[in-house]
Amino acid sequence: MRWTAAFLSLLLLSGCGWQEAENLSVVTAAAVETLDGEIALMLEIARPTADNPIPSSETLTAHGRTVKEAIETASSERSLYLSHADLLLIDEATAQNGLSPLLDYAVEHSDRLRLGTRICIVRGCTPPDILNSETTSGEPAGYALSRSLDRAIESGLAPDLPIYQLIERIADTDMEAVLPAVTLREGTAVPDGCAVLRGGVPAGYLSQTETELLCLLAGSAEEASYPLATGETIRLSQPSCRIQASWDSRPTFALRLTAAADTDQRTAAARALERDLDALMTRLYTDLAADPLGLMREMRRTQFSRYEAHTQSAPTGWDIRTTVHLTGGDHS
Amino acid sequence: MFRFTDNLNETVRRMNALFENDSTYICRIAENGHGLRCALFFLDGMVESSSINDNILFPITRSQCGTVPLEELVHRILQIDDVKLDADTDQAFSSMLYGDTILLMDGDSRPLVLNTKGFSRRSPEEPDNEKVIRGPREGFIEAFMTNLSLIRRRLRNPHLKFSFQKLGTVTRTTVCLCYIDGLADQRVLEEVKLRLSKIDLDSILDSNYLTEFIRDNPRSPFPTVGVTERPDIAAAKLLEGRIAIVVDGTPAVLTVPHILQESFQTNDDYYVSYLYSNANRFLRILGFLLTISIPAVYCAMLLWHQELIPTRLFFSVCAARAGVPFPTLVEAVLLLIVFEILKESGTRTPGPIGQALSIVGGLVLGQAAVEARFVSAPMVIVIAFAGITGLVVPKLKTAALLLRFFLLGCAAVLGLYGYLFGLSLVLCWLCAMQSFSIPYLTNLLPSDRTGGRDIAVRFPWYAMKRSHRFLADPFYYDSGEDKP
Repeated sequence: MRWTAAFLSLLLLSGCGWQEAENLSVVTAAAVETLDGEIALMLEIARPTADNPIPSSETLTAHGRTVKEAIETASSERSLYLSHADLLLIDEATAQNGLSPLLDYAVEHSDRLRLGTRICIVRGCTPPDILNSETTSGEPAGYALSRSLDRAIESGLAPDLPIYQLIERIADTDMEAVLPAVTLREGTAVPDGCAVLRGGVPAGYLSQTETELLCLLAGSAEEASYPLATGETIRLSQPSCRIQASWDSRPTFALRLTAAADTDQRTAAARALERDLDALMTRLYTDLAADPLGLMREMRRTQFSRYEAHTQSAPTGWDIRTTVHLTGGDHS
Repeated sequence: MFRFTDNLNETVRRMNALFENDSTYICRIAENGHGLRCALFFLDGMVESSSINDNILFPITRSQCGTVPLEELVHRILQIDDVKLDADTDQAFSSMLYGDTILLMDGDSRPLVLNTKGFSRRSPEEPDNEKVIRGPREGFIEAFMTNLSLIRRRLRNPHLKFSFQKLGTVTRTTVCLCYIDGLADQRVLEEVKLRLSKIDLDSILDSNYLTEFIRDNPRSPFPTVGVTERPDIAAAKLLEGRIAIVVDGTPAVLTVPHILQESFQTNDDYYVSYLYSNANRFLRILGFLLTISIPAVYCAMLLWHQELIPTRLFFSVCAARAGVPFPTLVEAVLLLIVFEILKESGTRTPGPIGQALSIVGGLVLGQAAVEARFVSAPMVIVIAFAGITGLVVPKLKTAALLLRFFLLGCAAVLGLYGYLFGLSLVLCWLCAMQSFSIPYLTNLLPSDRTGGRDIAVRFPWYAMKRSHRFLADPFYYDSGEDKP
C-alpha cells in the first residue's frame, strides 16, 4: 500500500509532461541573416511521414532584434524541438557583426540545443536560399546539407568546428577559428571554402583548394585528393603534419607534411605541394594575419620564455618553412 | 475411532465397513489349514501383486505351523524386507493408503505393515526445463523414495541425512529434509524445521505449497527458495551447505537458502569449459538487465529524451509511429500484455501446436498489427527483444515480468531519471532481502581474495577453494578425523 501511494505521488508530482515524438516540431537546420539591422530567422522543420524514412519539411520564419528574440518569437507560434538541429547557416553580414550573440544563446540554452551543431557561413546567396533549395535525395535541404558537410569533413574538404569547439577557439588568443562556407551551385548547396576568423569575426575567406590544403595540414582527414597547379590530382593518404617551433631572431616554424601519395612523380608532386603550401602560409599569416594552425600555441608549448618575450615585444613577423615528404603507399 | 481387535472376523467386518464403496479396497483371508489365519488389507493399483502372492500369501498358506506369535510370523514365515510391527492405527492406514499392505493375524490385535508398494511411476528422465548440453540426464520424478535414492547415489556419505515428516492434515504428504550433517548451517536447519512445523494446511500436492509458507519476503518477485528437478543440482547445493526439501508426489525439490546469484547459474556452467560458461553467465546477467530495461529506456528516450536518439533513427521511428492511434506508453503496455498472453498460450498448448501458435502469434499477428497501424514496428521489435532476452533467465521470469512494467511506469513518468530511480529502488529492495537469515546479495562483494570465485565469473575448479563454498563450514573439508 505504501509503495502504491509513493508511486502514485510520484506520478502526480511529475505532471506526466512527456511529449510524443511524432508531435514534436523537430528543427533540423536554422538560417540567420541580418536584414536592415534586424535578425531574420528561418527554421527548417522536419515532418516525418508514414512509410517514408525521409521526412518532408516546412520552414518557419521569425524576426527579432536579436537571435534570442527571433527564436522566442518562433517558439511562441509552436513548440520547437531544437536538439536535432545540426546546422546553423549565417550570412556574411551576421558573421561580420560577431558570433558572440549566437554562441551566448547556444551556451545559455545548451539543454535545448546541441553544442555539436555546426555553423556555416553562406556566400553568394542568402541562408534562406539554401534552406529553400532542392535536393536530389528529396531530403530537407538543411538536413541534406548537414550530412553532405559530414562527408566533406570526413574527406578533408571542409573544416570541422562544432559550436563547443568554436567557443573555445574564439577565446583562445593563439589559434584562430575556421568555419566552413557554403554556397548554391546549380541549385544545390555545396561546401565552398572556408572563412578564417580573427577576433570572432571573419578576417577573410579561403578558396576550396586552399581549404583542402588547410585541412590536410590540420590532419582532419585520413585521405584526401589534392589538385596540383600542374593540373594533376593526387590522392594522399594518412597525412600527418609536424610543427617545429624555434627562435632565430624571430619566431621560426618548420612544417613537415608527410603522406602517402599515389603518383610516380612524388618528388615533383612534393615540390608543387610545397609551393602551394608556401602560398597558403603567406595568405594566412601575412595577408589575413591569422593563425588557424596554432603555430604560436606550439611556440608557447615548447619555447615558453621566447613566446612570452615575443608577445610582450613589438611584432617582428614570422618565418615559416614548409617541407613535404611523399611516400609510396597502399592506396587500395 | 477405528481400532484393530484380536478377533479377526470382527476386524474384517469393521474394515469392510470403513472402506465401503471403495472398489480398489481388497481384503484377502489366508489360512494354512493348521490354524494359522490371517487377513490382508490393501488397495488395488497401489501394490505389487507378485510381492503379495509370492512373499506373503504363498509362505502363509504353505506353512506347517499353527497359531504362532506375530514376531515369529515376521521372522520365520513372511518374506518381506520392510515390515513395521509396532505401527499405530494412523500409521497403518497411512501406509496402506500409500501402497503398503496391512496384515492381521487372528488372535492378535497388532497390525503388521508390509512394504508392497507397486504403483506406476515414470522413469527419471531429463527435465524439460533444465536441459543440459553435457552432464547427467537424470531428473527427479514423482516417486519420493526414488528421488531420495537419486540424491543418495551422488552423495555416498554417512553424513547425508534424510529427515521425514508428514504435512497436510488430509493428504498426509511426506516431506523430507536433506542436508549434510556438519556442513549445513545449524541455524538455517533449525529455521527450516521451525517454519515447516508452523504450516497448517489440509493438502500438500506440490512443493510450491511449502514455498509460499516458508519463504522470506513473500511479496517479492525474486525467488528466495530455490527449485530444481535435477538430482545433480540438489547434490551440488547440499555440498554447498544448503538444505533440500523433497516433497512426495512432485519432482520439484526445494533448496534453501536461495540467493540472487543462483538465479544466474545453471548446471551447464559446471559441466563445460569455464570460459564458455562465463561467457554464457555474462549473457544471462546482461539478458536480465536488458529484459527489464529495454521497454523502459525506449519509452523514456521516445517520450522525454528525444535528443539522445540519432537524428536519422529518430525520423525512422517517427515515420513508423505515424498513424498509430495509441500513445507510446499505452502501445508498450498493450504489446507487453499481448506478448505475455502469447507466451502463456504457447506454454499451455500441446507441443507442436504451441510452437505453431508462437510463430503465428509472433510473426503473423505482429506483421499484421504493424501493417494495420495498430502498433509501430520499432515497438514490436523492442517488446519482442525484451521478451526473448527474458527467456535466458527462466528462474527470474516473475521478477522480469513485474519489473518490466514497474520500470516502464517509472520511465514514462520521469524519463531516464525515473528509470534510474526505479532501478535504485529495486536495488535497495534486494539489499534488504534475506533468505533464511542469509542476505540475498551475499557473495556479490567477496570478502577476501579467495572468496567469491563463483559469482559473475566462475573460476576453474582448481582455483575454487572448497572451504569457500557459500555456507559450507570451512573446517568441514579441511580437518576432522570423523569427517569422511
